[in-house]
Amino acid sequence: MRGYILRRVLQSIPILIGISIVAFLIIQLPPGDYLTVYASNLRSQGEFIGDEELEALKAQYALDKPVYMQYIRWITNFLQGNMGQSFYWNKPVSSLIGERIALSMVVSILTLIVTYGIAIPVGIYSSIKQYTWSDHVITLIAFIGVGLPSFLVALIVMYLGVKYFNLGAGGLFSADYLDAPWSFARVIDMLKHMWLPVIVIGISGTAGTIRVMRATTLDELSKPYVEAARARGLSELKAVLKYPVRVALNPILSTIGWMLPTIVSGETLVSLVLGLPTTGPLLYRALITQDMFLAASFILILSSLTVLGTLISDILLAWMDPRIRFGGAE
Amino acid sequence: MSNENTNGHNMLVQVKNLKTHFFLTEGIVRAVDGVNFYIDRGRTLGVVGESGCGKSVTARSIMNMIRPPGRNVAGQVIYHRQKKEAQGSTVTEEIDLLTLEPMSAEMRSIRGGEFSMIFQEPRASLSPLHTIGTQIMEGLKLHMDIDDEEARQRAIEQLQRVNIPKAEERIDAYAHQLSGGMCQRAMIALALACQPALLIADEPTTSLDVTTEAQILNLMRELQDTFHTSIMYITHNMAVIAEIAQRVLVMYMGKDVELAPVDALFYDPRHPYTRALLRSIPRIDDEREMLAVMRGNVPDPYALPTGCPFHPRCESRLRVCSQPVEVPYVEVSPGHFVRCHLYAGGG
Amino acid sequence: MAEPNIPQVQDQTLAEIGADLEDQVSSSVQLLTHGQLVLARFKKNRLAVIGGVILAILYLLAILCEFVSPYDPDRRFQGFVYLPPTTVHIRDAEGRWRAPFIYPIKRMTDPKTFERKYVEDTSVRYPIKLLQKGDEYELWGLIPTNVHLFGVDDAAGPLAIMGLESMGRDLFSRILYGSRISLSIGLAGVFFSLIIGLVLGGLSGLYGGAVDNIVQRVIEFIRSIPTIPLWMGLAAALPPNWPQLRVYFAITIILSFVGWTTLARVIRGKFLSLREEDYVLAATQAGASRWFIIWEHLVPSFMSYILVHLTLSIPGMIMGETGLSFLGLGLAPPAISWGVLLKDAQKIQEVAIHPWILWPSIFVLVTVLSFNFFGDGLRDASDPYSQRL
Repeated sequence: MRGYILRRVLQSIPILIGISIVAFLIIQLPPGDYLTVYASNLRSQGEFIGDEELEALKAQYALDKPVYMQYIRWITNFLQGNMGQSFYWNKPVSSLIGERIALSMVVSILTLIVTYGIAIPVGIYSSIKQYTWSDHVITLIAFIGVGLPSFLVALIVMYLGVKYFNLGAGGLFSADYLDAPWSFARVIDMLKHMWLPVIVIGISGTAGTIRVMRATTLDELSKPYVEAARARGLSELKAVLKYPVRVALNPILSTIGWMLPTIVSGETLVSLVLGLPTTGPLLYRALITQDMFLAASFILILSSLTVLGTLISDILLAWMDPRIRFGGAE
Repeated sequence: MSNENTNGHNMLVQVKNLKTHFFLTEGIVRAVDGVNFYIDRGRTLGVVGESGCGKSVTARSIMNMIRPPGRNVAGQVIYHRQKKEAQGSTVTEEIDLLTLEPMSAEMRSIRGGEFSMIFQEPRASLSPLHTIGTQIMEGLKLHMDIDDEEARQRAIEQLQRVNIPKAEERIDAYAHQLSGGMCQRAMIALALACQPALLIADEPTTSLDVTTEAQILNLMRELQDTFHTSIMYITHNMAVIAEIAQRVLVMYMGKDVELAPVDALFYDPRHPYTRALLRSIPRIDDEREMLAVMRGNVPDPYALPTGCPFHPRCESRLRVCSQPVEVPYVEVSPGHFVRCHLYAGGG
Repeated sequence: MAEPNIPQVQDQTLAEIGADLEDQVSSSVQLLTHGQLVLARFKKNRLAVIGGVILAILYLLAILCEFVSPYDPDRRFQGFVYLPPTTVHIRDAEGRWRAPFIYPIKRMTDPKTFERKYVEDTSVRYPIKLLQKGDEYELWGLIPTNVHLFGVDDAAGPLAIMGLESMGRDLFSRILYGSRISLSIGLAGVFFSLIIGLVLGGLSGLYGGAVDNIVQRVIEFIRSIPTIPLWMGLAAALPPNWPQLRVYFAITIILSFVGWTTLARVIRGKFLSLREEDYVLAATQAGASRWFIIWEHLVPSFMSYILVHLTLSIPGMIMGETGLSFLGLGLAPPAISWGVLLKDAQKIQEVAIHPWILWPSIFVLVTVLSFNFFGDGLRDASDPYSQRL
C-alpha cells in the first residue's frame, strides 16, 4: 500500500511539471514579450514607467535570458507565491484568483457529491428493477442526459429563468450579499444559489454515472457470490447492498479521476454563462485581454488542483480495495 | 411420530412433481418439468445429467431461491424438520418449502441455517472485497445467537475442520489470495458452519484439478460422518457419483428419468439414457477401441420434442415414445424408479 | 451443448455427430453473417435509427446549404434588425385556405414607448414559391445560379423562418451555412484524433518499453487537465490576424489534442494482445507474418470499436467548437459556425427579448443527441452477442 501511494505520488510529479510547461507556453505564445505589453498598457493609462523599473522587471522575469531560464524563474516565483502581475487589473495575480479558485472548487466538489449522490442510488435501483417501467424511464433519461451539452443547457435555463421565473441574471449571491464580507448568512445565501449551476454542470456526469452504475451492478448481480450470499440466508437488500453494490462501486469511484477534470471543465464554461463569480469569467476575460500571467496562473492552479484531487481519490480507492491494498490484483 | 415413511426410509427432503419454468421473451423454458425424488437423512443423493438438464435449477428450487423470470409452477418440496422437544424427544414436522415466501424470515432461516449450498466456482462464490472470515461470521451471526468474538472463534474452528492450515491467519484472507481448492474448503466451512441438515453441492469440484477433487470428496465424506449431514451432490461425472452417493437421480431435459440405489444404477441401469451415459464412460478394463458416443444432441430447450424428450436419441424407442402422452413412472424394483415406456407393464 | 460425457470421440462417430448437428442447425436456426446481424440489431434500436436519419438530413442540408437557404447569409435586411420569425399562413384574412404564403412586414414605432414593432400588412399575400430565384451564388463554388429551394418575391420583405439576427441577416440561412463548419469540424477533429491515436497507440503497443512508457505518461498528462480551460488557453493564444481557414484547422487540432488519447489506449491494448491472444499464437504457429496478423486479425478486430468510438467523439468536438466560438476564442466573423452565431446569445437580456437567437443551440443539441443515439446504437449493434446497455 505504501509502495502504491509512493508510486502514485511520484507519477503525478511529471504531470504537474507538464502542466506548468503548458501554462508557461500559454504566456509565451502571444506575439511580443509581455513586459512590452505591460509597459505600453501602463503608458496608455497615463502612468509612467521608467527604464530602470523596466530593467528591474526584466531581470525579475529573466527576460534577457533564454526561454528555459525564463520558465525556471517563473515557476520558482510561482511556487514562492509570486504569480506575476495582471496587466489588466494592474494587481498581483495572487490577490485576484484566491477566492475565485476556492469558489470554483466548492462548486466542482459539490457537483461531484450531488452527481454521485443521485447517480449511485438511482443506478442501483434501476439495475435491481431491470426491465420494469421505472428502469426504462431512468435508462431513457440517462441516455438523453449523457449527451446534453451543459453550457447550452445553462443558456436555455437562463433564458427560461429570466423569461418565466423572473430570476436575476444568475450569479452565486443575492444583491444583499454580493459584496458583503463572508459570514454564515452569506454561505447560506450562496448555497441557495448553488443548486442551479450544480444541476446544470452535473447533468451529463450524473447521467453517465447512472448508466455505468446500472451496467456494473447488473454485471455483478449475476455473479455466483451474490447467489452464495442469498444461499446463506441473507435478506435480498443486504445481499445486494453488501456484496454486488460494494463491488460495483469501485469502478464508479475510480472514475472520480476522470470526472474531476470534466466537472472543472464544465464549471468553467457554465459559470461564464451563468455569471458565477468563479474562475470561468475571470479566466475568460484574462484570455480575451491577453492578460497572460493571470490566465496561466488560473490554468496552472486549476489543473494542479485537479491532479491533486485525482491523486487523493486514487489513494482512497486503493485503501478501500483489498485487491490493490495487498498488491495482489490481476 | 415415526420418522420412517412408507418405504422404510428416513427422509429429510421429499420433492414431488417439481416444475420450475423460466418465462423469457423468447419463450418458456421448462427447466424442471416434473421431478420426484427424496434425500435420506445422513445420506448422499447424487444427481447426474448433462449441462442444462435442470440439475442446478432443481437445487435452487429446494433452496426456494428461484428468481424471476423463473418460477416454481407446481410441486412440493417437503422438508421433514426435526425439532427437539423440551422432554428430550424429537418431533418431526413437515413443511412444504414452496409454500413459504422466498424472502420470508422463516425461509431465510432455513436457507443457510438448515440447508446450505456450495457452488461450482469456489473463488467466484466468495466476495472479492470481503475476507472469508467476514463471510463465514456473517452466516453464523445470522443463524445463531452469538457475538462477534464467538463467531470468529467458530469460524476459525470451521476452517480448521476443513483442513485449512494456519486458519487463524487465513480467516482474514481474501478469495484472491487462496487457491481454488482452498476457496472450496472455505466455502464448505462456510456452508457447514451452522451445521445444516442438508448440504447441496452444485458441481463443487468441476473447476478443480483431479487431486484436489479427491481431497474435497474425502473431506465431504468425513464431515458427513461427523455431522450426519445429508448431501445432494450434483455432478455430470459418473465416477464421482460412484464414489460418494448412496442413491442416484438421473435427469434429462428437466425430467427425472431414473432414481435408484447407486449399485442398481451402475449394474442394472434401466433407462436407455442412463445406459447410454454409462456406456460413454471410459473403463480401464475395457477392450473396446472406441468409446460409445450418444447419438444426437441435447434438444433446443425452447422446442422440446413431444412425448419423452429423449426419444429422438433413444436406441430402443417405441412408437408411443413420440406421442404426447405422459411417460409412465415405474418402480421396477424396491426404491428403483424409471420414467420410460419400456417398463409400462411394471418391469 | 453437451460438453461432458463425450470424451475422446473418434473420427467416424464425429462425422455422425456432425451430420446430426448440421441437420438440427439448418432446420431450426438460420445463420446470419456478421454484417446482417449488426444491421438487424441496429434497426431494432429505434432511437439510433432516428438519430441516424436526423444526421443524414443535417449533413445533406450542410452540403446543399446554398441551395436550401433562402438568402445569402451575409445579406442584410436594412431596418429589419431582430425581426421575429415570419409567420407562414395557410389561411388568409378572410378565412380561406390557401397555399402557404406570408404577409409583408411593416415597421412601426410605438408612439409612447418608442419600441420598434413589426406588423403584418394583411392586404397583400405573397405565396412561398419553390425553386424561387433570389441571391446569386455558386453551388459548391462551381455552378453559378440564383435558384433557391424556396423563397418569396423580394417585394414581400424577408422570409425569415427563424427570425433575423442583430444585423438583420436571415438566421435560418446562417444556421445552414454555419452547419458546414460545425458539422465538418467534428469529422475533421475525429480524423486527426484517429491519425494521432493510430500512430502513437500503435507504436506504443508494438514496441512497448520506453516508447510505451512515454506515450502512456503523455496520455495520463492530457487526461488529467480540465479540457475547457486548456482549450480556451490554447485557442486564445492563436494569433488574431490568422485567416479563418487556418484558425479552423488550428481549432481542429486543439480539439483532437485531447481526443486521441482514448483511441490510442485502445489501439495500444489491441497491439499488446499480439503477444497474448491465443488466436495470434495460433496464426504465428501457422506461419503467418507479424504484419499479416496485424492486418488480417487485429485491424478487423478493432475496426468496429474504432468506428463506434469515433462516432461517439464527434459530438464532443462539435461542442468544443461551439463553446470556443461562443466565447469568441474560436472562429470569428466573417466565418459562420453555430458557435459564432450563438455569440449573440451571450447577453441573457438580448435572449429574453429575442429568444429566436437561441435557434443555433437547438441545432447543436439535436446534432449532439443524434450522434449519441446513433453511436450508441452502433456500439450495441457492432457487438451482436453482448447484452450490455
